[in-house]
Amino acid sequence: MKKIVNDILKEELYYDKLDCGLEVFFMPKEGFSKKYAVFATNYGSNELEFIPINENQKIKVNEGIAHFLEHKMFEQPDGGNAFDKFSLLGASANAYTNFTMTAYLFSATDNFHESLDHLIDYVQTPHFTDENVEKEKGIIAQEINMYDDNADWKVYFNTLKAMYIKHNTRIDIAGSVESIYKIDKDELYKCYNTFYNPSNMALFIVGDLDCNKVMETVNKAIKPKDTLDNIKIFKEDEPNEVNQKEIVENLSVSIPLFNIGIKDLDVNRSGNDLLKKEICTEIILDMILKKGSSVYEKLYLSGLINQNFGCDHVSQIDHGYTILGGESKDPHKVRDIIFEYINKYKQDGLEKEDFDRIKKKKIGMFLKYFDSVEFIANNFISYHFRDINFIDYLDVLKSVTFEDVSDRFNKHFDEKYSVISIINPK
Amino acid sequence: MHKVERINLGDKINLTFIGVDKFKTNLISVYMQRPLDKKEVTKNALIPNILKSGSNKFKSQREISKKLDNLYGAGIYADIAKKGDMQILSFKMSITDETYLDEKILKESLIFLNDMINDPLVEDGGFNKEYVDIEKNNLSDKIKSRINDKSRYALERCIEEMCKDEKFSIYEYGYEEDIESINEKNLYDHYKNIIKTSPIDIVIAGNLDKDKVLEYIKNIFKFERENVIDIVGDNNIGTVESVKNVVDKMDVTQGKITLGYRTNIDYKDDRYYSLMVYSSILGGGPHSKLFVNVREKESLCYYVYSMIEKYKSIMFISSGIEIDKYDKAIELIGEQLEKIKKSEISNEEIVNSKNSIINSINSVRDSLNSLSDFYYSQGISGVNENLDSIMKKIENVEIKDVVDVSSDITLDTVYFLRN
Repeated sequence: MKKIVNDILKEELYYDKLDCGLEVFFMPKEGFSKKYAVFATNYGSNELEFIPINENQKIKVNEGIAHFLEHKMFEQPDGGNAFDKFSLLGASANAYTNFTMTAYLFSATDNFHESLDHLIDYVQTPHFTDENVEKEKGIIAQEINMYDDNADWKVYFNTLKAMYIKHNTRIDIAGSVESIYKIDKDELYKCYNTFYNPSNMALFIVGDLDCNKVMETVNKAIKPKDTLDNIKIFKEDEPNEVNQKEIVENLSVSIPLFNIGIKDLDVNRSGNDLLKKEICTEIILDMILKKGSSVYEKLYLSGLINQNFGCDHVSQIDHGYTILGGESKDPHKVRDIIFEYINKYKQDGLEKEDFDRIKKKKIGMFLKYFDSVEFIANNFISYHFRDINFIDYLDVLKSVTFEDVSDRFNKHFDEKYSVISIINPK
Repeated sequence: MHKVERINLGDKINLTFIGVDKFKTNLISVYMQRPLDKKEVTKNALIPNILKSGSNKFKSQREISKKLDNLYGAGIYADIAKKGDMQILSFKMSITDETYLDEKILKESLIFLNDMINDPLVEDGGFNKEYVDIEKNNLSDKIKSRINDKSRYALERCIEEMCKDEKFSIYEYGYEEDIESINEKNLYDHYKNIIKTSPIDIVIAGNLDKDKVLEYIKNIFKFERENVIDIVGDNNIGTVESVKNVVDKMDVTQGKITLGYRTNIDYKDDRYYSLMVYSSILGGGPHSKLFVNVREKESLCYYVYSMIEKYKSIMFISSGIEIDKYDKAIELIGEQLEKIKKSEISNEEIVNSKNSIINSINSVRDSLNSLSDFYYSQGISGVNENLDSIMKKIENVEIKDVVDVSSDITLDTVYFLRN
């Protein structure tokens, strides 16, 4: 068991890798009532072609299967539901699937060890039958329909479809009503047995708890399995261009919604190298686009954007993008003004003063985030699958220089690799 | 653990100090109470964004932002909310605890927050005209954009229809037709009146020295006060003559239903805690009757839940369904309420429900914002309970108490959003 201490944060992190390959992290949080655990697999909706465990032929599975699997994991061999026991213990449980991972979690103010035992146990106990798989289809179809009416979701997914030509991130996480109806129990087991091996998973625990006792519960609950070597996943190469410059759809909304996406070509990085790229990009967004920047002020005062305007950067190992979005009567004009400013900064250079101010801001905000156990756990686990130890964030942030940021700005913020997605009122 | 102290600062201004040492953040909140009234609701809704647009010292959003960045990413949140028959304006500032930083920022932050509230940007006896015009447009867009979130919209429409003749039906962000007559002068006059006459609460929470904070607050926060108003709400207890059925049509894929019920139980009544358990058994999570029977057994929906509108003694049930499954959904929901009436509640159901509520009450301690809102709400509603005593009351609820409240719960309005 290793212990890492961060003096600025005044936090400690314990780490261990079990014989079965599972990596376990624990962060003590003295005085907090809530204890939180997240058990996750490095497997999300993007993984659609792979060689299943103990087989040698690659298979292509139905879209939305990782998310379907997440729903079905709650099914218990006795016919009950994994929620039942959490409820009895007073724990609040949930799960989520995104493009790259699937996570199972709970928070509890009481009965933590029993709940943790149950979490580890149920995620290791698949129970799929023809009947229970069939029954889930109606529920997931309603979940997909719900998102179909959600304009924020639509405008975002259309941006991904516009940016990507081959990469699976252009496919909806939940799949389509058509694709999920083709899923059966054998396909679910193949995915489960391949990707839910402890050596492909991680467990993060945070709360006012005793480290030894936590590890004891984990060790007791984890079921031994042969560790897996690398899982063979197949992905098509993504061309260095965008799929389509513009994508427009109509929905029942009152004012057009837009997302401007900028595709990142600087990919296939991991670890602190990837983290540094992410932090540099976030600093740039703060410097030139968020509140406090001249472009935001111009757009806001001319009534082209409102308080809903925001921007974000996603840095995954094999893909990445920046998204700027909000509501506007004239999304094209917003895009033109933004790139006008970007091109101006490319000529004149960024402002060092802005850089210093934003760095200060980011340090203060990062410290505040550590007041939320949910934030801590969910971020640690998602960074972990990108080979990043989240506790290093402040060190990497402090090491970033103005030159790093200027360099990243010149490379990434290119109109040529930008797309616009618009949802117009019907 | 946390310590709470309420201090009367005079002029109907209360200070609540929440001392708690586990956080890296300090949160300062200023709340002002207004009556929920059609005559002023739209003006009140404009105020937060006007104040955030510029103060006398920091004349633009951009200058404000830069100042906040330099205070190590301090955050300002200003908004309005509906609480029963009141409209609450809140201004919050969240800062990093200065013991983690190289600089002291608490006092400067308090001065900043006071400037935003008590020294706004005023020109020729009014707010800045440009900012007011922009925010009038933004508010109008915001009101129009109510249709964007369909499940929220279904809930708000149900409230509007159900409480037609009551103050509670007023939409907290106001009305488009009232925006035009607002200008920089009459809005500023109204704001001065808000400062003069509203009951004001300051809540400060974090790892702080009480005496130092008290001294800062007394020296920094200066409100111009006059005759402070008392806010009187509607009577929330009454009978339902006949169930209202309301259908709206919109181009949607999924149908949204919201059912509104009169609970006839006041939040000051001890039976309110039985009502909380009732709602949890009915639709408070994966352990609830609605989740198990409508979602899991019948695969009718992805989400279905019930919730209580504490200050208005009403309860809602919401779900998203296939449009042609409307009758089936209504029937199944009705059956779940009937089961509770007939005392068909297992021991497991009541234990699960109580545990779930206790878990969320306990979790309030882990968020400065929840703690601040909790003690503020307790203070203004005159309920003298703390987190521990509420948990105790929940603990003591028995099946017979749940069945007892079920007889008071009456369906008032069924709302359906469909294509």
